[in-house]
Amino acid sequence: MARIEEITLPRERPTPARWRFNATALLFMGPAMVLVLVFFIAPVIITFAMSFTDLATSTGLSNWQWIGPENYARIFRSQFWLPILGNTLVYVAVVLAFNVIVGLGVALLSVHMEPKAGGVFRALWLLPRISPSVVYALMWTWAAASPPFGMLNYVVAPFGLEPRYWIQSDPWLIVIFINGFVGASFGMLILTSAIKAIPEDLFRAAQVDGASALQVIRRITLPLIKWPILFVLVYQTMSLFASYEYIYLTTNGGPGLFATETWSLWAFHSALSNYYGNLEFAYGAALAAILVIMGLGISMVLLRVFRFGQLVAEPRVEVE
Amino acid sequence: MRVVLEQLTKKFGDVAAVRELDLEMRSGEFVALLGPSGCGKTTTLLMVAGIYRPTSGAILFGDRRVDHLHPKDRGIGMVFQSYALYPHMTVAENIGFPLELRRAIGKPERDQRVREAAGRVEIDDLLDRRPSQLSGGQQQRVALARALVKRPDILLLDEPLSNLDARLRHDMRGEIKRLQKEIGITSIFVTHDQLEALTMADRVAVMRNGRLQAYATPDELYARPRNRFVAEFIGTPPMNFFPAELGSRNGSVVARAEGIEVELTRAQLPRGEARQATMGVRPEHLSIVSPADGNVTGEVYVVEPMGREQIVDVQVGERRLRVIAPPGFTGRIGDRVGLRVAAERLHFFDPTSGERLS
Ligand SMILES: Nc1ncnc2c1ncn2[C@@H]1O[C@H](COP(=O)(O)OP(=O)(O)OP(=O)(O)O)[C@@H](O)[C@H]1O
Ligand SMILES: [Mg+2]
Repeated sequence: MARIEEITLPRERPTPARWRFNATALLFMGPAMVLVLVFFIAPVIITFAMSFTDLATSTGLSNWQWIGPENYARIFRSQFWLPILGNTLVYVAVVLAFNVIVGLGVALLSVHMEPKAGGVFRALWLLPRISPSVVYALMWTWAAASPPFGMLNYVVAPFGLEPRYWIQSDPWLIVIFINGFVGASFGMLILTSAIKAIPEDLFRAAQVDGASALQVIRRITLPLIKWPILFVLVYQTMSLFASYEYIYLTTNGGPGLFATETWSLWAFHSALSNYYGNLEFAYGAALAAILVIMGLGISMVLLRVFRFGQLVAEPRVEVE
Repeated sequence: MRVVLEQLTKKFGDVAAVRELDLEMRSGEFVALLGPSGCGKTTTLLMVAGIYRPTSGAILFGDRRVDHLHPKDRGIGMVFQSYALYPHMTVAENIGFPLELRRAIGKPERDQRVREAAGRVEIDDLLDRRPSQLSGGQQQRVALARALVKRPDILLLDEPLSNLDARLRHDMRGEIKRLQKEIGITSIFVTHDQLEALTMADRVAVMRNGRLQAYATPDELYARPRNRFVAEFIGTPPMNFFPAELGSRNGSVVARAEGIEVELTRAQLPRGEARQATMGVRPEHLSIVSPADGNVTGEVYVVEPMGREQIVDVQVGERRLRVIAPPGFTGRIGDRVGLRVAAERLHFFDPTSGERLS
C-alpha cells in the first residue's frame, strides 16, 4: 500500500505554447502597435537622437553633425538653467495643487447641489477648457490689462488694492490663475464621475451610522476616490511639465529676462521661437529630453508615495 | 421605542410615492412593510431613517417628533438591501464605524462592542477581512452587526434577504426574527415577499401605490383580508375569485357562483344590502372529490406536484380554479372531478370597491 508521502503530484511543466508566436494576435494588435510606434515611441527616440546633433536653422537639414552631449553641457553651463528649473518646479507644484484641490472642491460641491444647479455649476467651470486657448488667454490679458483698464482692477478695488498692470507686477499670480482655472476642469470631470459612481447607499449608511457631511466626505468619499485622485495628480503633473501655451500667450516668460520662463517654454523658445531667427532644434530637443526625464521621475515618485501597487490590487469601488 | 407615522406623505415632483400613511408600532414590535415593487416601501423607510424629508405628515419616536432630525440624531440602525458595507474598511472597521464617530466611546470599549456585535451574528472569525472577501450571507451579517453595534432604539431593514439564495434566506429569516426578539428592538422590515412578512413580523402593513391597504397580524391578514388586493396578495398560490350573487333562502343568505351554492355563516353576513359580490376562496380551502360529491364539477387542467402537496388547476365553466390537493391525488389532465368548498372559509368583497363585505 502506498503511503501518503510516496504520492508525487505531476509537476506543472512550463507551457511553451504560451510563448509561441501568435500570428492572429499580432494581426489584431498590429494597427494599434503601428500607431503607438509612429506617434509615441518614434518622437521620443527622434527627440533624444536629435539632442546629440547641432541641428538648427543655420545648419539646415543637410549640414548637421553629431556633436555628442555638447547640447547638454551647454544647458548646464547656462546661467539660467537653475532659475528656470526653480520656476518650473514652483509652477508645476502650485498649479497642480490649485488644479487638484479646486477640481476636487468643485466636484464635491456640485454633487452635493441640487442636480440641475450642479450641472450648471460644472458647466461654468468647463468654460475655460472648451473655449479656444488663445481666446481664453486673451481674456486674461484683457482682464489683467494695465490701469485704467483691466476688469481685475475693478474686482479688487473694493478690497482696497491699488490698480496695477498685473502681468507686469504679479506675473506669477496670473500664470497660476490662468493655468489653474483651465486645469481644474479636468480633475472636476474625472472626480465628479468617480463620486457619482459610488453607490448612494454607502452615503446613506454613513449618515445613519452618525457621520456628518464633512465626515462622510473624509471617511467615505475621499478614500473611495483615491485612485482617480492619483490618476489626476499624475496626469496633471505630466501635462503641466509639458505645457507652456498659456504662459506663452500672457507673460511669454517675462517680464524681464526669464521671470516666468519654465523649462518647456525654454525648449519652445530655443527650438521654435528664437529672438535671433536661428532656431536651434537640437538644443530644444535636449531641453525637451530633460523635461521628459523630469516628468517620468516625478510621476514615479508620486506613484510610490501613493503606493500604487497596493491601490490597484485593491478593488476600487464595489457594490455590495 | 414606540414609532408613529401620521399622515406621512412623500412626493417626488408630481409623483406621490407615499400618501397619507398612518401607522403605529408598539415598542419592541416587529413590523413588516409589504407590497409589490414601487409601492413606496423604501421611501417610507428612508423617511423614518431621516434620509428623505417627508412632504407632509409627522414621524414620532416615543412622544418626540423627529421629522426635522438628521439621521445621526434619530437613534436608528439600518440594514440596506445592498448591505452598503464600506469597501475600503475591514469587517471590524465597518462594524466599529458608528462607534468611531462618537467621541464618547473610547477604543477599548469600541473593540469590545465590535467583538460583541460580531459574536451575536457569528462572524467573529471574519473581522480582518474586507467586504469583497465575504459571501453574500456573511456581508449581510456584517451589515446587521453594524446596524446593532451602537444599540439603536429602532432597527430598519430594507429587503435584507432578497440578495440571498433560497436556503440561506430561510435560515436568516429565523435568525433575524430571533435576534429581534432577543434584543427586543422595535424593528421595521421592508419586503415584497409575503412569506417573509408573514413568517417574521408581529404585524404586517400592506401597501399599494403608496397607500396603506391593511395593517394587521399575519393570522388576521390571512383569515380576514380587508379587501380584495390584500386577499390576493397574501397567500400562495393566490386566492381564487369569482363573481357571486347573494340571495336569501329559507331565511338565510346564500351565495351563488358558477353553479356553486353555499349558505353563509353569521360571520360572513354582509353589512348592508349587497346583492352582488366577488367571492374568494383560497386553494387550500377547496378539496377535490368525486364528481358526484362536489359543490361543483370541473375538469383537471394541469397538475403541478410540489412534493408535500400538489397544485391542481381545475377548469370550471369559464373559470380556472387553483386547488391544493394531497400528494396522493392521482388525477390526470382532462379528468372530471368534483370540488368541495369549505363554506365557512369563503370571503366576500364588494365588486366595485373591493372592500370586504362582512
Ligand atoms: N428619488 C426618487 N425620485 C423620483 N421618484 C422616486 C424616487 N424614489 C422613489 N421614487 C418613486 O416612488 C415610488 C416608490 O418607490 P420605492 O422605492 O419606495 O418603492 P419600493 O416599494 O421600495 O419598491 P421596490 O420593492 O421595487 O424596492 C416609485 O414609483 C418610484 O419610482
Ligand atoms: Mg425598495
